[in-house]
Amino acid sequence: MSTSDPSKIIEKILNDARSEAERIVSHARAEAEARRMEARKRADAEVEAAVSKFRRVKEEEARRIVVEAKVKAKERWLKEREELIAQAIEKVKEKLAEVTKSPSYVKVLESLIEEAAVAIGGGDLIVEVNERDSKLNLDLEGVAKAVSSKTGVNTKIELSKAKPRCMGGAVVSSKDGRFIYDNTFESRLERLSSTMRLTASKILFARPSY
Amino acid sequence: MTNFIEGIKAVLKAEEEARRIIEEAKRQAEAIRKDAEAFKVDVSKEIEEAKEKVAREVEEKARSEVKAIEEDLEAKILKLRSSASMNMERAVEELLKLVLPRAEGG
Repeated sequence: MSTSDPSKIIEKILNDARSEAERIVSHARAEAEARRMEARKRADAEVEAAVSKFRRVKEEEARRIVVEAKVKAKERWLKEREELIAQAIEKVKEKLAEVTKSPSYVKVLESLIEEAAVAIGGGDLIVEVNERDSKLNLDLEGVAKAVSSKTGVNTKIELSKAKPRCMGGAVVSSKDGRFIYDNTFESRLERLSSTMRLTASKILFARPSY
Repeated sequence: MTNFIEGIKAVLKAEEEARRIIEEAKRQAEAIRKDAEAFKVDVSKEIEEAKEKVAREVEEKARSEVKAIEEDLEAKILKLRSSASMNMERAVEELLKLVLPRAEGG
């Protein structure tokens, strides 16, 4: 470069200054960016630590809510089943009430008396039926014969004056009072409750299961 | 001679300008550094926002699962009722057979 051409010297001085200025600013920018990134990284780590614990707590809460919903659903489903089974049993009671008014009921009642008498083992027996049934023309002698035949014990059956309050059926007891067999409809429904519920469930809900 | 003196003056002026440029760059650099120092992440606020987001996501997922359970239940109850309705008569007949010593009901 010639000293006789100051414009070139000036240009170089200014270019060098601009370059240096650019280097100074770039360096400051790079430092600032690194500082920001470091601060961001630290903050992210802190946020992540706090949030991951929070997430675990919330997810546990959510799991509880879902489990509770499943339990509630199961309970409601079981309740629904129970109600439908109860409906079927209620209908059976209605049918039994109809049976007591039908002509075939005499035979049904005699069978119930026979069944109870055989269960007791025959002998001298007393049978109690409700007020309405006491007016039926029951063949107690025929029943006694059948019981004698089945048990091998000579059997006599008397109609008691006691009139139990029941839908139908009979209470049979040995004359000495040692054995009692309650074969009223109510008692039979009670005894057969589990079997009836199981049977109703099998038939009613042949399709879906939870 | 005059040109030489003018030239020297111009060079001196350029050097003055160069110093000014560098001083200005240093001021800018200082401002950038101060700005960076001032950069602070509001961690508390970010934690709060992140928690709200997580809560929304988790609760939404739970709501959707509960809804699915309820819909599934309703569908199953409908099937249950439909099945019971179709089979009620047969069930009552079978139960009656259990209660009566002979099938003489009805």
